[in-house]
Amino acid sequence: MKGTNLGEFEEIVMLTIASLSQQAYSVTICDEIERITGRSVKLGVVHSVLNRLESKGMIGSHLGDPTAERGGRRKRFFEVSNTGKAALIAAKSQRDQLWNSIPDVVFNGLK
Amino acid sequence: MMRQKPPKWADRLLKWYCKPERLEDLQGDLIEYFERNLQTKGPWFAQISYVLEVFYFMRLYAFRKFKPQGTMYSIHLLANYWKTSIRNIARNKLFSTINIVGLGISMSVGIVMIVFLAELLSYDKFHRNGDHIYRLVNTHWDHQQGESRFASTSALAGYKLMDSHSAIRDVVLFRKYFKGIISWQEKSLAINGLYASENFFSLFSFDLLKGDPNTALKNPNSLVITESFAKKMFGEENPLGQMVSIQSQYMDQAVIAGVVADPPLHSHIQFNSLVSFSTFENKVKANDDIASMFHWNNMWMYHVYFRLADEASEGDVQKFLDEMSAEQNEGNEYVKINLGLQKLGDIIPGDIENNSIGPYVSKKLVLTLLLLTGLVLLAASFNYTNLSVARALGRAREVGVRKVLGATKAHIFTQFIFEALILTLLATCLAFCIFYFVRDQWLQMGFFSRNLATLDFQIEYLVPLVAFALIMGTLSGFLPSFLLARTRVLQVLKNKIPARFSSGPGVQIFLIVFQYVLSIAFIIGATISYKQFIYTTTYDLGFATENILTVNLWGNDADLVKKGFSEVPEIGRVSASGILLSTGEQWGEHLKYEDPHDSIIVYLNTVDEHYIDLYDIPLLAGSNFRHTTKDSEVQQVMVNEKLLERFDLGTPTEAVGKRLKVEGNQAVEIVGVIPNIQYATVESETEPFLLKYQNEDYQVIGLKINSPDLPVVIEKLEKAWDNIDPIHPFTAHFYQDRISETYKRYYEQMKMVGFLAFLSIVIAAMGMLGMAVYTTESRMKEVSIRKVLGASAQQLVVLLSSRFIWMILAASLIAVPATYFVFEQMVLRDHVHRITIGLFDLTIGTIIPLFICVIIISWQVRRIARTNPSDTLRDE
Repeated sequence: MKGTNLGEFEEIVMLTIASLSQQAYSVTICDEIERITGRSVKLGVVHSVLNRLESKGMIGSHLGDPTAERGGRRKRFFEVSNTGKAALIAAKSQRDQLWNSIPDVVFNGLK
Repeated sequence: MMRQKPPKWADRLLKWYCKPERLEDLQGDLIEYFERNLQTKGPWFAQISYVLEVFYFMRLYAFRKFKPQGTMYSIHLLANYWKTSIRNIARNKLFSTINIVGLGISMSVGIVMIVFLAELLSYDKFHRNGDHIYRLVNTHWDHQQGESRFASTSALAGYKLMDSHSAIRDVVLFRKYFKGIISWQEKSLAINGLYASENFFSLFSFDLLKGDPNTALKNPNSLVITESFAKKMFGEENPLGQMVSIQSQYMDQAVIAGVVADPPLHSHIQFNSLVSFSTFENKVKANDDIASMFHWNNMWMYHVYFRLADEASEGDVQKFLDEMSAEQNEGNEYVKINLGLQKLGDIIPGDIENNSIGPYVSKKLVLTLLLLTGLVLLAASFNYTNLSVARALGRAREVGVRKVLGATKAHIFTQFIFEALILTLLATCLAFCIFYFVRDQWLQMGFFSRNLATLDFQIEYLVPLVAFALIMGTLSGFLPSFLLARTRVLQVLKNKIPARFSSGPGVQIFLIVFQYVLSIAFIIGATISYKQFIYTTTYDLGFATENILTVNLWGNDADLVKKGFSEVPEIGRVSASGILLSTGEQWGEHLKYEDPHDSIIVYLNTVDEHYIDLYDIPLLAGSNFRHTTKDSEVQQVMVNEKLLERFDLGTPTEAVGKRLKVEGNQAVEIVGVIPNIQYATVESETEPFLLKYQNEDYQVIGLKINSPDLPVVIEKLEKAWDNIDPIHPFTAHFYQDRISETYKRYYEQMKMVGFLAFLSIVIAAMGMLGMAVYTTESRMKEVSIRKVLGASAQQLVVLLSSRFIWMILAASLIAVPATYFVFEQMVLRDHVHRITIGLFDLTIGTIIPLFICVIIISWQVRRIARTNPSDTLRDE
């Protein structure tokens, strides 16, 4: 089913949200992804991914309090929902399983 | 320093498309980025990237749902608009009438143009391979006359095309002017048509009813006749295979090899009959005329059409033609002929008038007509705009109430456009009636009557007609609807007059001035055209044309006809000639004097010894032609003064007796010198020309009539004619009428411009009437007070009309120089003999509208003057 599997970028965004805990809104998410992965991320792309994840129920959002920055406009903070958390854990366990089944020789000397 | 801000318009765009619930954080993010960019990358980068991001956000998730407009216009709302519109149209009878009549009249012209255009565009569309059919056209350059394009080409080019290029298929050669008398059993009829080569029926889609399309035009002496001609000639009998005898230049008998359906009206190739090209070819071969008939420079009588293979490109063929032209032109410094291609679809309307094979309409004419019609239509639609804007105040309160009840701008706009459309629809109905009523008048205008168009309204023209009506309605209603839609509810409901309604806005002045510019220009144009027409037709040609009747010879022996006519007692001098001077016909021949390399094309007319007496041409030197037989060795000519100058022949007296050489090195002797009478039309300068005494090649006979009782004389002449030639009709015209016929173009131009001038004046006058009524009504109180204080009627006229008069004067400031320029630089420029545009011609255009304006205003003022001021001022 389409809803349960996460895309690579979706996963990264969700993990970033989780790692930023209370401070996750579009701009910080962008910055964090850029910092970690080193690739430049368009705000519009992040927005559209956030929107998609929200409609899938993976993440939730609420508007913060207005501040002096951004011309008084509120930020929309994101957090990973329980469904999202389950999906992330599922993804991680899939990966771990795969990692565990790889014989040592394959990555010998690379790790 | 001012804080940098993101571009406003980008913000507005974002606000417009974005979901409201998404807007805040999206915009916040953008601003955060903007400020960050401002600090790190500078203001320019920040601005640009902000705009780019706004566009980048245009994604489905961010878009708000636009309310579909359609559902908001319920049937009830439309019914309400309908009712309101009808009531309004019915209530303001004067304004509705002005608008409907003005739009109706001008739209009837629009309908004529739609039908005319549709017919023109349907020309030659019936050919199955029409898109691939081309015609060879020639660009003829000659060191005297420069470059001009011809629809004809040489037979040589056609032959060379036939089997030289793989892309060229089905080459068809035509030769014009097949003429003769066809006889079968006891019956004889005049026949004319084209010589056409054998591929005719495979290239074109003319419908061959009887006969074999592959061979009908193959053998010499084959004749294909049209269905209607077959009926006339053979009645019910089967014409196919019949032997007929024919008196014509290149054959004396023929076999009917086919019957073709009459060519459709909308075909630029028209014929009564087709003769196989091989007939002509064989005869030419037998007479050893091939060199001259099929010479590269003999490009006046032939037309070549062909089909381009699907995969071939025009460019390749053009390259091939260029090579052929270069090869053929080599060594000739005086004349260069270049071949070109013309698509079948570009022939009508087209841009090559010279030597056209059939009917012709120029693109220029069509565009001019469309432009003029468009201007008149615009003028009529401006009437509606103007009157509606002026009266918008009356509707403002209605709009206010509607808005309070929840109507949006779009609703109000639609409502008033709807009203304009209803009015236009009524006007269209009227226009349609007018169209049918005056259709015959239109058809009499030359450019329709040359069997070019029928102006029959086909059912499929309804689509463009409706589109036309819709465009007119929207165009007329746009401005008032727009203004009314912007009405501020509070203002109108508080009885405050919105500023833009009270004083005439600039747009309104512009519209009125435009209308008058048009009227003035048309009046001036019509006046000048009329004067030029009169000037041309009454120009002193240098020879007499009064009471001279001209009769077509139809190939009969001139002496016989002359003798027959001379027996009518009321006839004075009789003279035969090749052509009629000053009617646009021209014959030319190469002429040389002593220097064998100095040859010119000289115009000529073949005449008999009575010619100069009949036409009262004075002799400057020498004497009249001596009567000789056809076989005399040296032909006699009379030359004009221009020819003396051209060849340095000295004074007229010295020139007499000198000899010149014409085509084929035949010597001619100058027996007389005549002044430079008008050989060609008045449009061109007189060139060197000569009158040649020849006793053959006569086409027409001129007769002096010495009796006032014309019908009797003509009847006698007709009887005499029937004794000589029972087959051809007796075709007689007065010389004067022939000349007028030549200048019919001016007459048509004048009639057309005159008609449009009349239309635009009517439209402008109606608009003025509407505005005058409106002005007087809205200034009723002011006028009443002035009256009470002792203003006279004249003063009131001046008061109310001064604004209009100023506008007319302003319009004339634009129109007069513009029209003067157009006529001076474009219309009259090519005329050698032309009128000078006088002060009267230029002022008349201003005087007529001024006059009409004063009359209308006076009428309105008198109407007010008769009302009692106390009635108007009672409530104050």
